[in-house]
Amino acid sequence: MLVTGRVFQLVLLVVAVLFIYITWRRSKSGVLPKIREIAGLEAINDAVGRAVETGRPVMVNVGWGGIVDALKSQQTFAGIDVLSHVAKLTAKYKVPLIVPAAEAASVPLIEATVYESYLAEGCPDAYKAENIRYLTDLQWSWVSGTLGMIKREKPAANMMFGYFGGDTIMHSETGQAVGAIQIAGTAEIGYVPFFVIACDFALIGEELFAAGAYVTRNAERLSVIVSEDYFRIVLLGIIVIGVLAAIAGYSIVPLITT
Amino acid sequence: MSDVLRRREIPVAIAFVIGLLLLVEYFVAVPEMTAVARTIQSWGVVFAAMALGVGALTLGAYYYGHIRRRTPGTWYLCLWSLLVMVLTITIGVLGTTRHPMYIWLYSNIYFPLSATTVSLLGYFVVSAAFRAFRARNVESALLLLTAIIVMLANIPYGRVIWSGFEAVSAWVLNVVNLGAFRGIQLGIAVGGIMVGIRRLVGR
Amino acid sequence: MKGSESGLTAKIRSNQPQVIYGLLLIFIIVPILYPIAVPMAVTEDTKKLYDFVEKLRDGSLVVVDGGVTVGWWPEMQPGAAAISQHLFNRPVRIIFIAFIEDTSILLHQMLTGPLIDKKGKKYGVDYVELGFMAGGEAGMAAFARDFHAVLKSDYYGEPIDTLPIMKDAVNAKSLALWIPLGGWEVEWALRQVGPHGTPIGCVSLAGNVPGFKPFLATGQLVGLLNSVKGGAEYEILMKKPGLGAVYMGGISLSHIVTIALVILGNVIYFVSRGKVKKEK
Repeated sequence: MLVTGRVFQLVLLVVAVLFIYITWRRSKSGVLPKIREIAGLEAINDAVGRAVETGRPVMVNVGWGGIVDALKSQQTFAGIDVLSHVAKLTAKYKVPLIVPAAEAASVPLIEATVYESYLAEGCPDAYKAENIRYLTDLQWSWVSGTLGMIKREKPAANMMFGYFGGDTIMHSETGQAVGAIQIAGTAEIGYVPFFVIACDFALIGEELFAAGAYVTRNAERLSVIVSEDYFRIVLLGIIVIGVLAAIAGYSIVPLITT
Repeated sequence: MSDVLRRREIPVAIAFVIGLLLLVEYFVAVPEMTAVARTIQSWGVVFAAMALGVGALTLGAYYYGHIRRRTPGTWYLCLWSLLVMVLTITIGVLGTTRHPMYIWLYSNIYFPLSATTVSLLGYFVVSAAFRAFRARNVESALLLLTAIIVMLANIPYGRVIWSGFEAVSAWVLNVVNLGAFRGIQLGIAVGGIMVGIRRLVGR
Repeated sequence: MKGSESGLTAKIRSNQPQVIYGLLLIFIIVPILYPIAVPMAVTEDTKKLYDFVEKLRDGSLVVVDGGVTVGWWPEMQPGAAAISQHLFNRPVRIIFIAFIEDTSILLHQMLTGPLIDKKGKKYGVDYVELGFMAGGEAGMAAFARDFHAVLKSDYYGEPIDTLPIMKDAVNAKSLALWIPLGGWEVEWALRQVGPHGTPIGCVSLAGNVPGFKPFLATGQLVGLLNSVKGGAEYEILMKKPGLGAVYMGGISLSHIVTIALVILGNVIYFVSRGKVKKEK
């Protein structure tokens, strides 16, 4: 009945769903799980503060992954979560917020997110639709446009959370050239080093997925982060058992590929 | 009726049912389920192709908005983009992508512009390296040394300087880098699974 | 004289990016115009892929799957051309397809251009171009499951059921090798084609290579060409220098310029740090 080679994967999936369910039930009590400080996300307030002092805008870039592609969209959604938080701050402190968008389908979602954030802060009139700038769906055309935007607008804070590829270094260097404080994160691990060397703060790998939960301090979302950690502990256990078994001359690979 | 259609629960329910079907089919070997999954995946390809068309329409509408409003500094660029877009689509649809004019537009405008933008990457990387690679402390000195060794191992001239660069670079990539990337990839995969499950149940 | 030297130094300092870019431009363009031959070693990952292709049985089906946007093609082209030529040299059947819209035209141009000698192989029998298939990773998943269910015609609009090569080509299990070109294309193939048991060997963008090392270690990738360098190495193994050999001159010198600038930057940093300490 079950496909050969996928039984172990099914077991892991069931375990993952169980962890999500257990932590979600616990989150209903309203107690916020404790997660470690992520320096980049803590620096968002300071970055917006810099924009207030200098009178320059804040730019939030959610990458070019869009919301249609299954895997890239996860990073875009994570970026939009952070955008929502930043939009509230910019609405509160009356700082212009500019968002370059890279996929036509994601524009309504970005516009709605920013508008709702402004509405939540009680200043919907401050929302400017022309600051959500859709450029194009193509990566390098979009990159050209955003680099030009950074050069012209000279943001005080340049935040990049989402799916980025080879354009990481281009955005970071251009932002650095205009003197912006830069906070960035992407789950594309091959390109994270560019953010690390060129930005003031960088989120590595799955810290981006935790970002939305972290900034909103939503108990339900934080519970998913906790469930991820529980699942990682299980994987770590399997790895340790595998290594010990290999040292003892046995292999657990046949068990994993059952 | 429009209120019912606009409710969030309907698209979430559709996504959940389809996602669950494909997930079950991945683990359970039942021919009927395989046939259903195949049909769903074929429809997915169709929707993806349609999304390209929708993207073009949305882009056209966006450009038209700027042209109509005569947005300063933007409207004439949008007009040009719209004209080129319409021309390319017309040639592509009527003459297929094998039409000589389509190939000309592709090879002589799109290709050089894209390749030029990508090639800027090299300049940005070098200027970032010049600015940021400083041996300020032990960690950054180690990073600097590793980068130089790997770079020299990647080029023929590295062998001329010292034949050991390749062996050291191979060790760095296949032992140190491999372990680190494995850990990070596992973490990202776990994050992706959890986010995926969250999306499937509409949270 | 002293005044003009300090003026020159000041000018270089204030136009630092332009100086760097200018140096880089010269050291990239000159070796391309006047190629320099320098002996190169072939890495293990390239050799593995070459040996795998060499050992393919006669009549095997291989997919070359193009997955880069047009801007990255100059980085992919040497490796793509070299491995395609190797496949044409061998008695195997090749299916060219693209899951990124740009690459279908690029593959077509490569196949109909001077880079590839098809060795008398017949279209539709020994090789076929299937053009672009929409859907990205989902499209690849659907294609890997059943070629004929999702794709009805080739690049030229001919129904694929009329092509002899496609009679045996049913799904990913029919294949002896899948060769994705690019970055995320390789990840898609690992996730969607790998589970069918199809061996995967790739031509990868340089920035993605560290991320694929774990898959090479586990055997999920049978070999890997590291962008232009991998292409140049493959050309050495093929004994047919091409674009890779030409580009490596520019790449090599630009690496040396970068290293020199990094060292210079550190020297300036330590000298100025020393001066500040002295002043204190």
